[in-house]
Amino acid sequence: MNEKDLLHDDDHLDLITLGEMLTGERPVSDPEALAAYRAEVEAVWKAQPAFDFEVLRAASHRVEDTPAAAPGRTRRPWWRWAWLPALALAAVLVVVAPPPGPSIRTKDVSAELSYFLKRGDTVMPAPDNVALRAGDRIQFTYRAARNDTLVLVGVDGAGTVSLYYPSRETEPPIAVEPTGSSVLDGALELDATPGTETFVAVFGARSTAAAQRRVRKAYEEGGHAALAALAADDPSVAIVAVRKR
Amino acid sequence: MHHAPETGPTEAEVRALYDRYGPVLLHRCHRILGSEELAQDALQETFARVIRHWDSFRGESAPLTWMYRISTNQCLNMLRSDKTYAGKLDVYESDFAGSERVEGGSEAWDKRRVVRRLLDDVDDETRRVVVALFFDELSLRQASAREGLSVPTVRKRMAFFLKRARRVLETAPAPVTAAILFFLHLSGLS
Repeated sequence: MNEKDLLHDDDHLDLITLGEMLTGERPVSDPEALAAYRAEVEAVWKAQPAFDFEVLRAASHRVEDTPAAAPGRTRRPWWRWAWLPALALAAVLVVVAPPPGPSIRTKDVSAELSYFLKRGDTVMPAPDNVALRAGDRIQFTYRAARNDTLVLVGVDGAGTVSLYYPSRETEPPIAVEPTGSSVLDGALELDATPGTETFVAVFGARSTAAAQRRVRKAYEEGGHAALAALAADDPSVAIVAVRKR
Repeated sequence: MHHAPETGPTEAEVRALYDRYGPVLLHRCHRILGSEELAQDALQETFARVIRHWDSFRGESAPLTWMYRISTNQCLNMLRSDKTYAGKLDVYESDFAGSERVEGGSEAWDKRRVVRRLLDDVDDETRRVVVALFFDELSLRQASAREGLSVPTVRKRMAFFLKRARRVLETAPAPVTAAILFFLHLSGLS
């Protein structure tokens, strides 16, 4: 970061001026620059939900009564606090499961499981304090400690146990190498089942079916907390727990 | 056709403003926040305030200037309040389906993300100056006029921001440091 990123000449065509040109508040002085700007604006606008007067009017009732001409700090809209329950849950999960940041669980032997979230056009590393939702897509990353095998099993909020990697119980565990953080092929699209979903990576399993049974047994004995305990006790197991709303 | 209570605008009046100014405002919010979802929230909040303050707004000779100010407030509030969401989560993008490895990912950092992250660490006046200089690409003089600050003050705020950025580099966690150092390398500073 240096001055050249912040300093512009007075004759530089700034974004405010371009906006005024595009909205007709100012005569167009540079059609070429305006065309490029228009393309950018239209690309962003494509994803905007349709105009809904009732939604805007309802939101206006929640706006604090600050002077319009000199707006002060605004209160956060009420819906922005919707993540608070997820935060509370995350605070609990942190005790037994993932520390903040993209590396969800670090073992003594460096076995890790994490993920990237894709929501709309945005891709982000495993988010803290954000509830996931139906339609979100996640792609797992792992870090193996050695040449090993991996089986990835998920248990959703309804207790349904699903095998993700490999795709069939009859297939052998997938082979992994200690080559740093790597991405598992493909992405999962989350369904609408609410609650906590725990993804369990079992490294070193000789049998996919055995690994899946182990996860199922742990869950049946103690729910998601037992899966977290499993990961805490066994360095060959890593978990990611997400909250779906 | 809906009509807002009391002296509020009609649906047609709001729709006309929305169609004319909404795209430009959304683009700017998206530029500042780096998140489509947050930008949409900021735009909604901006128009909610237009409706709320309709009586004073309708007398504005430059509606866009007024709405820029409203949306700037909203964006800065979101950056400050949603540090984890807008600042932390959106600073690190990668090609989701593309690369087979996600080692470090520092190449995914760009200037906007670095600035967005650093905005968490400075005062409100500095934030406004940085938004004007960096996101809106105004000159010192233009930023001075828009923010009602002297040019020396704008320059001072800018210098403070750069100094703060360097301090963050010294205290940031390793991955963050690596990413910002990568950015500085690209900027020719390191």
